[in-house]
Amino acid sequence: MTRGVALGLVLGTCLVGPVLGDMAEAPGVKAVMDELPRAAQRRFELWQTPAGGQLRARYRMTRVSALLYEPRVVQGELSFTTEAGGRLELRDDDADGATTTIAAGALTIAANDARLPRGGPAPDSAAGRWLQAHLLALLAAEDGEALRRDARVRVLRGGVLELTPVPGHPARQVIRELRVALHPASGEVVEWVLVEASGDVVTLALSEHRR
Amino acid sequence: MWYRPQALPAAPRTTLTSFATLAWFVAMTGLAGLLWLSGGGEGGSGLVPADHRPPMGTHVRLSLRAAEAEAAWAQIVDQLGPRLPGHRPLAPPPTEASAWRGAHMLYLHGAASAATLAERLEPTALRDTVVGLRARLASPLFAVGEDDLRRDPLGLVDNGVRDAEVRPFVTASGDLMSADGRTLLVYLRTPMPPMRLHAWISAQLASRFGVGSGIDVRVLPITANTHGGSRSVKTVVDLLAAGLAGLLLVLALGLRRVRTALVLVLAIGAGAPLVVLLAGGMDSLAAPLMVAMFAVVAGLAGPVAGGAGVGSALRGATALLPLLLLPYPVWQRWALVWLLGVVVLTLALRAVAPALLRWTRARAPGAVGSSGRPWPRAAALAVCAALLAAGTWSFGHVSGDILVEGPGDDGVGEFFRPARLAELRSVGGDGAEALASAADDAAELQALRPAALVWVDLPGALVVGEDGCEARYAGLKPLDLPGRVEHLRGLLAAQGLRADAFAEALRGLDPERQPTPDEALGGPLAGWFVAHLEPDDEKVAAISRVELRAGLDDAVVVPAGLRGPAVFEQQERRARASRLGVALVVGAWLSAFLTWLAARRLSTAITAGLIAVAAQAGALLVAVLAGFTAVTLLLPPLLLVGALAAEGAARACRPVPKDSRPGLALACVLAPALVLVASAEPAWRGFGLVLGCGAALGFTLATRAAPGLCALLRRGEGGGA
Repeated sequence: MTRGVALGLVLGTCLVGPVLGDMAEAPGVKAVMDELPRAAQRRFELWQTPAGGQLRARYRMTRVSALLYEPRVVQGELSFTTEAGGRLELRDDDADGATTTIAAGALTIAANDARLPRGGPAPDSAAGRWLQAHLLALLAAEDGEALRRDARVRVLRGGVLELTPVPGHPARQVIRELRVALHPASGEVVEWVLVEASGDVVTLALSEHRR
Repeated sequence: MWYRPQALPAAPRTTLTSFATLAWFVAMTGLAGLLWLSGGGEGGSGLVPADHRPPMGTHVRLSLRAAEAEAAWAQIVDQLGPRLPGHRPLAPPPTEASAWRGAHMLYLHGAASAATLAERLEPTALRDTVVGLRARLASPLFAVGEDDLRRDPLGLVDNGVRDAEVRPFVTASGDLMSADGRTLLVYLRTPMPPMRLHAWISAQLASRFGVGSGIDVRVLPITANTHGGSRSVKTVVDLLAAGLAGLLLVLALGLRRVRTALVLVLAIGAGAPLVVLLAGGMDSLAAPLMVAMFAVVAGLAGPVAGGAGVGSALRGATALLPLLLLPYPVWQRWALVWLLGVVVLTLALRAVAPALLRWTRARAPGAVGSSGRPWPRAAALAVCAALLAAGTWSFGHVSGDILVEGPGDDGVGEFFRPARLAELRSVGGDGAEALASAADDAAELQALRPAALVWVDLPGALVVGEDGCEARYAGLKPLDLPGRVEHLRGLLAAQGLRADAFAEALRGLDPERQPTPDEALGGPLAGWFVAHLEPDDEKVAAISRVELRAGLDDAVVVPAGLRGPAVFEQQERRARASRLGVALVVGAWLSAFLTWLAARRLSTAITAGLIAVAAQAGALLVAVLAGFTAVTLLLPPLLLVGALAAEGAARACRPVPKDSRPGLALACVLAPALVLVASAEPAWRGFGLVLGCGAALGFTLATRAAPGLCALLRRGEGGGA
């Protein structure tokens, strides 16, 4: 009798076990990060030369667009600070220009003429997020990982850094590439060229950098 | 020599019953083998009615994992989908859709009203808009700061509508892409098995795009069973085996006869393939019911129930019949499967077990212990009243949310939750009529955004019926739009802007361009529109798809034709209390009626019904307190609790047969209930908790409270007479 009960107990416990067992989750596949080529690494080292923090500079912007009969050229003052996640302002000098602000993750473009209708923050978009994040990272000159995020990095002739949204990224529907030229000694950004998917080319030349 | 002639006379005689027993085991073993080989061990009809089930189909999720596939990724994103069988776009191709919207911006959803148009097209307003446009063009971030300028420079379309329409990101083939661009979702309506589909896609990636590795491909079939569990057949079989092992343990200890217990469990377990066959498969919803069936049948076995009559068996077999009144296909089926299963297993047990017991020369079980003293009548009444009050409170805390947790959500969830998708079929005589009907439905659905709908794929949102176009045209005619367009051209040129670059937008201001269904079916989006048309009897249906927001407010009224698990869930939430109440009341009435049939005494029947309801109320309270509030999953165990409690009460109201063991019958239920509570599946744990606690409570009430109540009612009967 005792052996029979023991047999029953053994049977019971060995069959309950599998039900109690939790199903193990398969480990996720870790994305393989590609390494930067040597030339790009050297440009990144140069780019990280300036002391971070605030930056003020003069700029001259040229837009070549199919919307315009003539290229649009404006000049203005750039101010950038890393505080509160990064704030960038591009204020055109002329009244017929505009002021562009990136602050707290939002982009605002407002005409300088107060009489004109003022819109709110730009609509959220993948391209907007990509460009804002990379411009802020570019001017902060600190976080190489942020600059490389969702971007393919190449070094063109003349040491120009080219950032392109990774293949398949929705930002590619608007942005084709962002080319950045650095000062060979100070490492400051002296020019960026934005090539849009629409064919527009925007060139922003920076001078008189003040950190 | 193995042959010993002197042993023969001691062996049991071979009789017809012996042959029947042998045949029963052989047939059941063969049936089990057939079921296993045919894969009939999984699948069922689910909790969601047929018309609310998600459409059959497959989602394919491709993820870019390694750099070697990056070069071909953009090409794959745009071209792979249409190469796959049964490819259906999840959204219109963005370029064509944007052009279509721009060309018909005066008519489609989000268009400005005639008054707003008149205001925006005033000469001064036009001048300010164009000057502001030129100013903003001075911003280097203009491209990402504006909506589609070339198509809507005047901002005539509501931004909110347009923003909502562009998410999630859509590829050129109409597939969806994640925000980081590394995951692609393709929708296929094909019956091709997942393994073959996976092989097909891998072959396409290798041959067409030259990608051998670096892309993770996952095929995620949309299953018809959206019920919150995805346990494999093996897990279900493990549960059944564990349930039988628990029964064996309890019977061995209770009867103090291991061989007798083994025989009983063997006889019950052998009938399992027949029940699986009756149920049409065994999935995670049905598994706990099967375990409970073993327990109830074991309680009806001769050595446990003794001389209990047909009434007991009937009460056990009809326990789930009230489920026929509810709209859940799996429970409707199980109401009948349970009836047939309990009857067949009980008969088989009564026929097979004695023969087996003779063969194994098992000894008769030992003596039966006596039960405790019943409670005073007032205490019995008070306890029942308290339990009923607690049950009423618990009614307000039940939910139906577990219904639509689909197993495929893990892979597709970043785009939408498949289990929350709903479809609306707009029927018409032909494609154009169906699209016109879809346009009316789309207007109704658009009104639910964004509060109730997360994602939409509405062909009707891009067309307007003939009547709607005519009405809108009549409203636009007094605005002299051609004249305003000419004025705008002049303003643009004056500001150095090329008017031709805005040609698409200027064409969109032409009220003669109307997005009628006929235009749509002959336009650049024709392929996408046609992909949303399906034959419907002798007519054509336009399919609109939406994703309903989780936790949808009960007050939101969705269109009547919208079908999907999430819609059913909302209906469930509204009706949960009434459905629960109906099932429990009918269950208690049935128990009382069957008791009356067996005992022919109203007092016994009323006591059985009352004890059943009280036990159910107590079990419901326990479930709610323990956080198991999915009423749909709790209904079967609650009904079983009621039937078991009624059975106990009926026994308590009449002289107890000397050879019955109600305590052991309770233990037979408690052991599988404990196995369920110890399982990893939340639905099984809730089932086990309700069944175990309810059965124990029902037993206590039946043995302690029922005699007092019965005596009280009999006095009333006597007084009345």
